[in-house]
Amino acid sequence: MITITHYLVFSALLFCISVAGIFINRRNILLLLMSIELMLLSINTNFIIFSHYSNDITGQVFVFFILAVAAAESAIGLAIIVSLFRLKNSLDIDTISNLKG
Amino acid sequence: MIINNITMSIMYFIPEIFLFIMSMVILLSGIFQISKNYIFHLTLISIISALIMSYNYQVSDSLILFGSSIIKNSTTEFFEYICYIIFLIQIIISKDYLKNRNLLSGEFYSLLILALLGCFIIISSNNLIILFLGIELSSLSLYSLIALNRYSVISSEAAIKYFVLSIIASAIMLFGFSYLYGITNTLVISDIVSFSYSNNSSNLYLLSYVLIFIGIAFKFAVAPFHMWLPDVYEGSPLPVTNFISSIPKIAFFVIVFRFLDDNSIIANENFSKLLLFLGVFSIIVGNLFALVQKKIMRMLAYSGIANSGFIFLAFFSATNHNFSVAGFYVLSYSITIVSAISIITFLSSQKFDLVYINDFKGFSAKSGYLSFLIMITLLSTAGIPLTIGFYAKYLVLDALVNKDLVFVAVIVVLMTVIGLYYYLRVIWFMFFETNYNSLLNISGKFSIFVLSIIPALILIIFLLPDNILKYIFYILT
Repeated sequence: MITITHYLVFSALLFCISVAGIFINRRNILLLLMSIELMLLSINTNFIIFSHYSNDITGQVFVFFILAVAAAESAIGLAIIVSLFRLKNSLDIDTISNLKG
Repeated sequence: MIINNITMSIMYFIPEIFLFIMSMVILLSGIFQISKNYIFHLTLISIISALIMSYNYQVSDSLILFGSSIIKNSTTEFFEYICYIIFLIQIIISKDYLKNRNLLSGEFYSLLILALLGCFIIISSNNLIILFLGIELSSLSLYSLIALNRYSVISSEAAIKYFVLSIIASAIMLFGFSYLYGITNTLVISDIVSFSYSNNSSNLYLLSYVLIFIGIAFKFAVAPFHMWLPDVYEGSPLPVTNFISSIPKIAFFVIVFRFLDDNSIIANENFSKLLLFLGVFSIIVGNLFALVQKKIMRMLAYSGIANSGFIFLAFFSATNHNFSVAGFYVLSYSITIVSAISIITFLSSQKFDLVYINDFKGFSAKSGYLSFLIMITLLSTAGIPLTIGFYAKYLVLDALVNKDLVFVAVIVVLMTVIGLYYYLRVIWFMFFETNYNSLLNISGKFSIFVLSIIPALILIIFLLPDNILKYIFYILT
């Protein structure tokens, strides 16, 4: 029997994996965008589970807004990454180190 | 009063809708040859008319619009007026700077107005969806504004750093929202707050508040969540830095007020320990790191981290129905930092960028009046008497001592004294060194007049702080 606890643990694990993906990843900026998407999706599962178990539709409405905002965020993130790639010819995270101090 | 009717609700939301329409008009008018030269005037006119409109639609009592998702009362109006005035000063000062760097375009002002609109939505939101959309509207516009100067490596780098860390902050906050929704089954903030008094209020409620406040700490740049702030201050164009440093802070103060006021969690020992730790740690980190900085914007960033720590200490010392100390601190800090960054923008509005603190050497020989203005604003951020910053810091320390936390108060005072060094170094450079830098811009009578408004306010408010404090107390209840 799968209860609400299992779902909640699942989405919390997804969230932790994506946070770890952002902080451990030392290679590519594009992987950062993927981790960010995963992070927002784990929040979506959380909302859907709560909405399902309490018979309340507003949580699912929130999910649509998060999906739309996540799409807008990846669009802007890709635009910034393109402009950075034009200047540096590399997507390596270690080369992004002009700002220090 | 609750208004569920949509047409009636729109009546009270006209200033925000007008701002949105004007941002689109400005974006379009940047394309055509005829209107290209009038973008700045159009922006100025639309902001002033939005200010007049929101003054005309002033509400007497609290209004809840669009089915309890927007709230309009004297609190939101007061903070919106402050944002309008700060924004006006910022765009008037930054015109020449943008013109000389080919950034004066339709999209710049359009995005800046959208970021302002996002902050207004944050201020007047009463629903977690609307709050999230407001946060995202303002931060999405700010990412693109930082990266707008696309030939600059440091701008793109600052944009990607701000992008990643800001999304992590929003995601942590959203994770907290999802648990809040699961416990309370509602997305309306006022219901969530009143839920804290019911018997079902559990540890999960505390956990979701902690997650939300970690997100807010990211946005306030409180240590240990401060890594992005110095890079963003250094990398972004100065007018954008000016915006980031002040208006979002005011908006997030209102959100913290809405989440914590009339909430039993404020008396929770563990939660207030978190606020105390964040505040003290941030004051220590900010002041110590600012000592070794060579660039003026990085120094101001670390001093901003220290001041955010004071804001969190003010949240810590707040009790139900008494957020006036925090409100006073946020207002005094944001007008002071706007004055400081506006002066730096004005000085580097010709081709030369004022980057290093050494560029201030001997500046008083070039313009005594401007160096006097810089001195007043820096002394106010440091918290020296005769300025508003002193009174704000005094109120926070007073509240700490009243809570029997003398040891913490002593640490905070020691750190502030250490912090004096880097403010006084700039003043020393200006007044007691020779060979001034002749590339700095000091011409523009109207801009100098606008720049002297805030330093004058800083000195005047010090003379009658009680009236202002009483007014803020009245506004926040």
